[in-house]
Amino acid sequence: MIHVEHLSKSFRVFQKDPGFRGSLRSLFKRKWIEKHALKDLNLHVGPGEIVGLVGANGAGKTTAVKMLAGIIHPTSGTANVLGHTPWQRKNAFRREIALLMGQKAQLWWDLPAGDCFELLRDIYSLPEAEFRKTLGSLTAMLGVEGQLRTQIRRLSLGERMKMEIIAALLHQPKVVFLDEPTIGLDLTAQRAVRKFLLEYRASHRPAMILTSHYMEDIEQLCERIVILREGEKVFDGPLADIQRAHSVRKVVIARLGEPAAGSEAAWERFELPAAWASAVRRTAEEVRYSVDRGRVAEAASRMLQGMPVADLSIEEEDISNLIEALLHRRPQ
Amino acid sequence: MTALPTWAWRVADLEVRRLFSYRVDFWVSFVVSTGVQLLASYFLWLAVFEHTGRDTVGGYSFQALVYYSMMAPLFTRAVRGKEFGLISDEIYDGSLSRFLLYPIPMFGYKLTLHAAHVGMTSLQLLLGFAAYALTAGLPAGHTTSAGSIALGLSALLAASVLHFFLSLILEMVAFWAEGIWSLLVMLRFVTSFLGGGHIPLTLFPEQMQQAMAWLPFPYLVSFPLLCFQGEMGLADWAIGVGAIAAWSLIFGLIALRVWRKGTLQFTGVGM
Ligand SMILES: Nc1ncnc2c1ncn2[C@@H]1O[C@H](COP(=O)(O)OP(=O)(O)OP(=O)(O)O)[C@@H](O)[C@H]1O
Ligand SMILES: [Mg+2]
Repeated sequence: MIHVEHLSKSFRVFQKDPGFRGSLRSLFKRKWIEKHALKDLNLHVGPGEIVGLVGANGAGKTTAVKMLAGIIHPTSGTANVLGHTPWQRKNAFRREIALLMGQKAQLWWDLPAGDCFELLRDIYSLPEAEFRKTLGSLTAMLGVEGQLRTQIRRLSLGERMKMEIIAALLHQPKVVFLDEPTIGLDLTAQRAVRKFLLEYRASHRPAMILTSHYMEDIEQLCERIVILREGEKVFDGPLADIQRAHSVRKVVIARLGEPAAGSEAAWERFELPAAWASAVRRTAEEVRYSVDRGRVAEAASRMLQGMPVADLSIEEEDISNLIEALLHRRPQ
Repeated sequence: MTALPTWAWRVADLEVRRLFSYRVDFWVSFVVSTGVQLLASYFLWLAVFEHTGRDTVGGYSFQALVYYSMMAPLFTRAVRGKEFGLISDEIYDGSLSRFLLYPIPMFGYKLTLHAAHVGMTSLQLLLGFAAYALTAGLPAGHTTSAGSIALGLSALLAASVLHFFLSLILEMVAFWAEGIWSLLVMLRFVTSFLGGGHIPLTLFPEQMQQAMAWLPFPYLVSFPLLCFQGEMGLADWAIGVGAIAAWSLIFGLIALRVWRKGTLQFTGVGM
C-alpha cells in the first residue's frame, strides 16, 4: 500500500546571526545552508501493518510523514501510496488517507468539534447514516460525547487530540499517518488511544505509519519498527529482532531479605567485575546488575552467596534502552 | 447555476453564524467607522464649500459629496469582504496543510468564506444606505431605484471576486517571504484611493482618470457605487461587469500559478 524508493528531502535554511546587526546583515547577504532532513529512504508497508517510525528529535520522522501525506514535495526519490504519487494530491488519494499531527491542530480552532465533524462529512461526502454510526462509535470509544459542543480551542490537550483522532478516521481511510498521536496525553488517555487504534486496525486493515517518543506506543502497536538516525534508516524489522540482534546483556535482579543484625552493609560491599557487569541500581531492598549474556549464571551465584537474597530474577534488557542505543550510536 | 457542493454551504453557514454570534466588533466597527467617516467628511466638505464659496465641487453639491463620502467606505468595506488573514497566516504557521490534505479546493473554500463576509458587509451597506436615506434624504438629482440597487449590488459582487484574487496573490507571497503586512496595507491604500473609496474619481485630474481606466482599481469601488446611484445604464453596467470578469480571469490565473509554485516549495514550517 505504501512503497517508498530513495526518498530524500533537504531544506534550504538561511542562517541569521543573532541580534540587530545580524538582522541587518542578513538583509543584504544571506548564508544559505542545505539541511538534509531525510536521506534515501526505502520503505514498504502493507495493509493491516502498523510501522513505528522511531528516531531522536530532528531525525526526519515528521519530514517523511509529510511527504507521504503529500503536504510537501521531496527533493528526490519516489513514493507510491495506494497507487498515487502523494504530492500530486489527487482527490482520489486524499479521500483515502489521513494525517494526524500531535503537534499541530488540523481542526478549525474556533468551531465546536461537532461542527468540525459535520464539515468533514460534507468535505468527504459521507452518507448521513454511515457518518452518524461511525461518529457515535468513535466518540463513545474515546469518551468525548460530552464535549462535542465545545470550541476546539477550549478543549484540553488530551480532549483535543481525541477529537483530532476521530476527525482523522471519520472517512475510514485506508492509509493513516500518525505523527505523535499520544503526545501530552495522560496514561489512561494514551491507553484509550492505543486500544482505539488497534480496534481500527482490526476492523479496517489500514496501512499505518506511526511516530512516537513513547516506547509503550511502539511496543504495543507496532510489530515492525523503522529507526531513523539523522535522516538515515538504520534499522527496519520486527521489534523482536532488535532484541535478538542487539541485546548482548541481561538484567539480574536480587531482592534482598530482612538484613541480619550487623550485616546491613553486605549489599554495599558487594561488587561484580566491571569487565562484564555494571550495577544499574543498588539499595537496601534491591540490587540490579546488567550482565553479559554469557555470565548470567556466574553473576546469579555470586549474588546469592554475597548477599541475603530473598528472591532472584533474570530479565531481558529493556527494549527502549536498546532502541535508544541504536538511535544515538554514531555511524562508524 | 450548478449546485454548489454541500461543504460550501456549510462553510458559508458556519462563517455567517460566527460573524453574528462571536464577533461583536464586526457590528461595532461598522457603526463606529461609518459614524466617524460621516462626521469627518461632513466637516471637511463644509469647510471646503465655505472657504471657496462655491455651490458645487467637480459637479458635486455639498450634499452629494457628503453622501458619497459615507457610501464609498461602505462599498470599500463590502468589496474587501474577508480581507486580512485570507491565507498568509496559514502559510506562515503551517495550518495550510489542511487544504493540502482534505479533498477540497483551497480557492473554492476561501472564496466561499469571502462570499459569506461580502454578504454580511453588503447587508451593512444596505443598512447604512437606508439609515442615511431615511434621516438625511438622498441628495437632489439622485436616481437610486430598486433597479439601480440591483445593478450596484451585482457589480459589487463581481468586484469582490476581483478583489479576492488581488489580495490572494499578495497573501501568497507569504510562501516566499515572512511579514507581508506592508503589501496588504499597500493594497488597502491603493484600492481605497485609486478605487474611489475616499473621493469621487471625477475629482482627479483628467489625465489621471484616463490612465486609471486601464487599471482594475476603479472597478472595485467607484463603479459599483455609480451603478448603485443610478448613474450607469444597463449597457455601461454590462461593459463594466465584463471588464471585471476579464480582470478577475487574469488575476485568477496568476493566483493559480502562484499557488502551484508556492505549494511546490511549501515546507510546512511550524508543523
Ligand atoms: N520546514 C522546515 N524548514 C527547514 N528545516 C526543517 C523544516 N522542517 C524540518 N526541518 C529540519 O529537518 C530536520 C528533521 O526534522 P523533522 O521535523 O522531520 O524531525 P522529527 O524526526 O520529526 O523530530 P521530532 O522528534 O523532534 O518531531 C530537523 O533538523 C529540522 O530542523
Ligand atoms: Mg516530528
